[in-house]
Amino acid sequence: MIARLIAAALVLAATAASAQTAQEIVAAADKVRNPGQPFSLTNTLVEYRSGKAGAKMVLAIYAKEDKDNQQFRNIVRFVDPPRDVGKLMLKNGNILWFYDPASKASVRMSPQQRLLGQASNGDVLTVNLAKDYAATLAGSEQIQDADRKPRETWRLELMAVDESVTYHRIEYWIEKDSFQTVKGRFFSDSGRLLKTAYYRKIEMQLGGPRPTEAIIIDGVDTNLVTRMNFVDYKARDIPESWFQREFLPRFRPE
Amino acid sequence: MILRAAVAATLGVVVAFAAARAEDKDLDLIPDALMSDERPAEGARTGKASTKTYVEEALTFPGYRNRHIVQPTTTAHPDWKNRVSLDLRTEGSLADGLSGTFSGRLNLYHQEGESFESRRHFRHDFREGFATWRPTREAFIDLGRVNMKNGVALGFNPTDFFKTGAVVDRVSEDPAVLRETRLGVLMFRGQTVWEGGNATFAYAPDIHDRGRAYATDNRSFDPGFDRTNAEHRLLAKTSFDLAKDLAPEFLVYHEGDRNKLGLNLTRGIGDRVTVYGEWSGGRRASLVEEAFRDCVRTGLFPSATTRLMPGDRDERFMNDLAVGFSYATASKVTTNFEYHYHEAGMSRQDWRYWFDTGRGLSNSAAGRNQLWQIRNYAADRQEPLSQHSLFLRSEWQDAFIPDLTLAGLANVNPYDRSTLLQLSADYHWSDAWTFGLRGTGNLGRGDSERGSATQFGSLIFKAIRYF
Repeated sequence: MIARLIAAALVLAATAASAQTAQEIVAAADKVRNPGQPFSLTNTLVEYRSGKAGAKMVLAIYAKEDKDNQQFRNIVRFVDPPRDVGKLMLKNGNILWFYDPASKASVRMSPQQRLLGQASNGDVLTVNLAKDYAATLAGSEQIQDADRKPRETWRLELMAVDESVTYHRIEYWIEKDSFQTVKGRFFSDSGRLLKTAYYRKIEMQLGGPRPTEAIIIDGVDTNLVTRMNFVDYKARDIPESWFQREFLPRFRPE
Repeated sequence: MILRAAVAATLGVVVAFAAARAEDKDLDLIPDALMSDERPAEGARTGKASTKTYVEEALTFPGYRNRHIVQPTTTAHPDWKNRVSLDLRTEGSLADGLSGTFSGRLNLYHQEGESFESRRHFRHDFREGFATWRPTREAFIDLGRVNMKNGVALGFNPTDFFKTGAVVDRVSEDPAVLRETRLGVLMFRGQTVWEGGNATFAYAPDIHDRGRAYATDNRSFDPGFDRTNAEHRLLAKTSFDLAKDLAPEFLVYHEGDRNKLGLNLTRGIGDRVTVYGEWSGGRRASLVEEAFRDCVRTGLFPSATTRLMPGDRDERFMNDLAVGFSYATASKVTTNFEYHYHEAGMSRQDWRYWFDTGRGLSNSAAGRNQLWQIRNYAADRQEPLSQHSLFLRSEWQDAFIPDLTLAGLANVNPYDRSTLLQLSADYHWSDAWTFGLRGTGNLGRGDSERGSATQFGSLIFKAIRYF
């Protein structure tokens, strides 16, 4: 253990990797996490409070990368619980709309506005972090993943370059060989730890091995942990015209 | 040099050791149950996503004012009212490229002092029923009763041209709640969307004379087309991206012999603030004059009735405006603040006339009715009564405890500072059950807009069971 720590410390002290390299690592991790084609998936969120499973939410997420800025546009459809069935959230760049079929009203939202219980909007959306954050390499580390297995990782510091993102700073651990994201710690602009996330259950989905589960530990109330499972990955032909407010009342699950 | 490297290495050891401790602590926070619980199956629950059904029980305790400067003409003051509603909204495929949408609510009303057998106690609100043909993935043709909502503001929507007469049951003063209970309009609608833009055309025919005393009726299973289709109406609107985060929506609307123009605009500022504005303008008469004409046209007033309120009777170009912003915090509080301008609404002078005229009509129910119908008319059209108003709404999710939502709204008349205040609490006890409490108050002096309302307030208890 001590030898491992010393080795890690020496790497930490000696590492001076370029920002470009760190950015490439984050971009590679983005590519592993997100399919390179328009797709949909079902995200099931279960909240655990003091160890007991509580509120559950099911979301259908449709995502497509914008060719101009390589960032994902998302349409999120609420499937469960029954009181939220059919509600929609659209994210196109920094523009977010929320649509409720009961009132037929589309309401413009700010990126910080919450809709999803404990999870923030940013937790369920498909995003390319390399586009919203400037990364620096903080070193090499062997850490334990959620299954307490050792993983050789790059530790990166990500600073937001776009103020509309959900998290101001991220500490990010990416496995060296596979570029799989192992862990992330997410901070507010005041430096407060908001969340810690672990990614696990790597499965072949849409042509690549991707994490199908994320565990999110609340930074303020550490008794609150949310599990997100990603299933039903499907490649989709998603027209560009879908990513605007007026399309939301027309959206139907396919 | 060697010393520097040793210090760096030592510091590194300390940092790495601390990091390892933090890492273990993070892992210890993951519950065992989370790791062992069953994962969702592929394809689970997605099929049910197009239908929402619930039963709502709402028990209301209204409170009435005993003293009025202008005595209301309604005399029924039940101590309690109860409503049970079965609410269904569903959509599904009818054939290839053809889908159907239905939305309705079956209500059972009961209140103190009324016999239960009355047929008036049942009412079905046929909100929507339309077929959609989709000739291409980006073109849509609708035919039937459609609830078409326009506008980006929250408390007052100048461009929501199809809202007139649509609210059949004023279950709340919260505009977000009222929109859920309003009737759609029988119409033909065509829409196309393309990358960065869209265009919509709608035509709503005149199929029924405007109903008499529409604001206070109970009509069982009547679809209420006299409320929603009493005029020929046309709407064309389009929006397209002009620049990054700049996609204004332009509207042209025609009703009877009048035209209106409209504009909607939103913009984000940073990650917490959204600003928005909504405007419409067109020729019309003042609210006071229009209310009088409408009551004569629908037969509520005899044609020879003399106008009691002075004021301009001519039609001219008038503006409606709602501008505001929303502010969201990381602690799940979202607050909207808006200023509303309704040029046709009652001015400070109109209000003075309203009270001065009403003071002299204590023995004339017909005269007082003429004054109160101005207020009914504005409520029916979902327009502000006064020319200027300030609107504030705030909602806090997971307030104090998880699944508790607190909301408050205030609508202030800046002339007399009277305020409509509503506070509500909703607790999602489970995925299937929600319990709520809502208190509403009309606060102000006796000679103010809100202080002269029939009710000084009400308290509603509700329970909702979702299926």
